[in-house]
Amino acid sequence: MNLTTDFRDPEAVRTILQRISHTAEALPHVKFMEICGGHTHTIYRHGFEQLLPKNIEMVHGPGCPVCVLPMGRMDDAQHLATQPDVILTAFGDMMRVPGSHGSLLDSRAQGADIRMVYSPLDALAIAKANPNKEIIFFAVGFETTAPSTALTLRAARAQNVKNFTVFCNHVVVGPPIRAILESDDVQLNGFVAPGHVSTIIGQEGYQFIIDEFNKPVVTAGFEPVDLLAAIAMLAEQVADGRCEVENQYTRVVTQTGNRQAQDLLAETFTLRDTFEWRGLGHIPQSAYRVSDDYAEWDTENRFAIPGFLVEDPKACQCGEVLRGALKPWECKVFGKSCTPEHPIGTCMVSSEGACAAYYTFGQYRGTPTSATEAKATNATDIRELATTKSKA
Amino acid sequence: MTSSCPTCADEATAVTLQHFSTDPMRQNLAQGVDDAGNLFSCDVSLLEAPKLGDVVLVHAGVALAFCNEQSVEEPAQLIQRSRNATQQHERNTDQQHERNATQRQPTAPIRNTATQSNHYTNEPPSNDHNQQPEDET
Repeated sequence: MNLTTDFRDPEAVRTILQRISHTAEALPHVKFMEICGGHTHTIYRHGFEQLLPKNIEMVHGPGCPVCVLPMGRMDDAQHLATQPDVILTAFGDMMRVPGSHGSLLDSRAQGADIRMVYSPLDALAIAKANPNKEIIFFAVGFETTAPSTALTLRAARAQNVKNFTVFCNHVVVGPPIRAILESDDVQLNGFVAPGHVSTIIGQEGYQFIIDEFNKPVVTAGFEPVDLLAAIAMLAEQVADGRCEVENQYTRVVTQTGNRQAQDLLAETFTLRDTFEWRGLGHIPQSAYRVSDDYAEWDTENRFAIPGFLVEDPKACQCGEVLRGALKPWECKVFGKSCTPEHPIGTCMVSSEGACAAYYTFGQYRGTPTSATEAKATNATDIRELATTKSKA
Repeated sequence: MTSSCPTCADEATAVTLQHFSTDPMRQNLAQGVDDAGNLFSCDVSLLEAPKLGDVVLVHAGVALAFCNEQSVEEPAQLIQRSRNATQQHERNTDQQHERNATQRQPTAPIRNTATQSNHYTNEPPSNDHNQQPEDET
């Protein structure tokens, strides 16, 4: 069995869609949040918004690590990159995220030594090759990516690499879900949990959603069959009046997750008291800092960080999009001054960002201008409106 | 899956392990290939006893989990389960339609018989079958 292509089988997609449609007949209008940006990408890439019954609405969550980073942290990174003898290393998408004074790519064009890496271990290799420079790794990502940074910290200590530090912006998935559930912005009926984060934290990482909020959860893989099967499972839970943490992504996700990775994270990181999330504000215990045992490799310990507090551009509504309160096309600048080529907000930068995915896969036909358009609630409505408009 | 940075995009790749490093300084390093035959190097120190031939999920140069094919509900099984669910739903719907149709059948006109209850006074029906109707007397 091929674990990728077999899960793109058109017949499986058709039959699962049929199953969802039948289940949906018994449901009122329900809203399921896909937390992970990878799922958002799958939904738009395969046109699920058009295929799903109209009373099943997918709401996009804060699971894109690039999107949730506040602009102030980008400015801090740019400040670090301009310090003498510093090489700043970062993942690819971070290079394009706009700060107050442009992106890291802009800073590089102005002479800063900023390099793209695919793994923090690559950054450590750069440190070993450049002993007279200070190498900073700009660490972002959820629990999926944090273990690779943690392993690099452990390797830096074991190999006594003194010119390497981590500017830690790793975040954890539970607290923002809690923040969304505690806010009145969106009334949700269930969650599609992120597949790869779950390989680390396990199914048990979502039990609080059941215990405290009484909402069903299904962990899903990223292929079309995976995601549709998860939506079917969620719809069936709602129809049956059940509320459980179910696992669709059984090929990699277990109940307890990866204990070795969890121990490593506990050794190398400590939860911050609070951390700012774009669109969600400050959320307690929602991000990691480098632990005291590894303070020597903590950028915030070695360099003075300005700690810029920067408001998002007024026109940009990434915050509402990240909370699921707005659809991408409802943002005032979407597709106009904010495009993947010239992003204003972070949601337009990474392909995991809801705005970029929505824009890239051609479901954008125009921002609403009339009362009818403003009432349109999903992509299908928008497409119908666009068709009507073009015929007119 | 995406055109952007695979690390930011939370992508992970299923890689079949083919070789472990013999360098004592890199004893946790392994190499393998994905489905398309692309070569990958990854750190396997977060996995318990990985072996050659194991399929592991790699993200940002680190193997995060084993891919367990035995636990997978194959698409063929998913199709069958979905069809079963659909057929069950259709049976339920048909039964519901039949019940509704039965309930909607027109009732027989009320006849003034002894066994007929009095719909207006809600009195129980009389069991006196020999009682003659008054208008016939």
